[in-house]
Amino acid sequence: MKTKMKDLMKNKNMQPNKIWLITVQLIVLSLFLVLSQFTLAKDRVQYHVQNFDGSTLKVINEQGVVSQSYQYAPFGQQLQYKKPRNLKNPNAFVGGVQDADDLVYLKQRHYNPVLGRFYQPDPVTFIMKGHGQTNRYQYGWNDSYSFNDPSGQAAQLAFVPLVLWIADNLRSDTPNANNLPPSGIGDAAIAGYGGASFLFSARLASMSTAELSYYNIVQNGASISPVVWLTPSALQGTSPILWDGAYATRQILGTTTTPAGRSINFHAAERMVFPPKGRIPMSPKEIDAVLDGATNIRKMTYNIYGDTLTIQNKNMLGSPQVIVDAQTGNRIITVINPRAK
Amino acid sequence: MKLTILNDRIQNFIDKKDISIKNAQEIDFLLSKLSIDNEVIDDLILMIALYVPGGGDFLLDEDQIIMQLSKAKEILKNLSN
Repeated sequence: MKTKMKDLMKNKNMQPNKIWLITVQLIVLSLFLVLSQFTLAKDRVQYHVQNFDGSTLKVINEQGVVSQSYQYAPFGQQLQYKKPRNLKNPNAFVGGVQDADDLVYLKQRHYNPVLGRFYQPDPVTFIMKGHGQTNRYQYGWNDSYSFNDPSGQAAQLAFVPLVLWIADNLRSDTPNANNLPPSGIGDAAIAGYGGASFLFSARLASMSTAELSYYNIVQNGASISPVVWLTPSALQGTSPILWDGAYATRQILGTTTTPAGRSINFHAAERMVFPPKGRIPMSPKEIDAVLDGATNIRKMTYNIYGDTLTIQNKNMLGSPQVIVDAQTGNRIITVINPRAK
Repeated sequence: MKLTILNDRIQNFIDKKDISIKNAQEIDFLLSKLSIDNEVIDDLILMIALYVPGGGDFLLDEDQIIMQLSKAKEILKNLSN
């Protein structure tokens, strides 16, 4: 009986402790929720300070603090010592979309700013451009001081966007009513950047649709939905254009098939017309000659996209080899040109 | 001399300092000058013909070339010894 009484007394003592504990837990949880909202809000809107060619130099958050800084080498290699933790800033060199591998997507092609080269050849051939340059992987004619190539399609004179940028900033130092951000945010951003209002107005000129919508929501007093990051293509206002290999093949070879009707891949066409050092060019007719008079199958290669066969003709000068898809044998993947004597 | 240049170019490719087609083709050129009769080297020449940075349909990417270059490097090492 005595033990029971003791237990009851213990329970009675525990009751206020439990209530106190739950209250503390609720307070901590509420604080956490409030703080997390602030943290999310901090990264919800970013202001990009760009230079004349569209490269992002500073990223300012909602609090007006410069959260990321960028510096670029002439060909776009990022030089900042402190790399941003997240890659939420999609606009990098000349306004291109930077991916996790530090490649820059310039609408038509992926560009490696460390190498200063595109990963895909120029869709517009050098013959059409008439510049006398044959390297179709280079950026801005290898002269980033005079040219840039934000579209990945054609190098353009670098001073043109500079002139437009200056004209845009001379025209008006204050943004128009439609683009005006809610009071406080813009001021904070300007203060955070040391009063560089001309740069901020330049940023307003290239403000994305997402930001403008955000301002409209704030001005109309509507509720703000949680963070909405637009896809890079939506931010760019364009969708990626697919690579047309057949078109490119026709541009450099004049045809996409051999006289016997075998289709020629762009990679093969490129090696046929522009052979590697120490090798000689090959014509579509010679490709047919190699395959029709083949002396041996040198190798079968297994590939996730489809197996390939390497076919050789030892009776021809230099024993050229042609690599075709194993399934049909009618698709020319690449060629191993004869060596120059 | 050629072997030293070749080794440097191969090493640059393996370290991904220069994975350009131009470098790959230069390796192909230097290998042809050395006239080495070896299956690994022959396969490497074939693979270089299929190489495009990033790979693609029926084509090879830099990682596949690097694997073969590593094998070729060992053979060249034995040759120089």
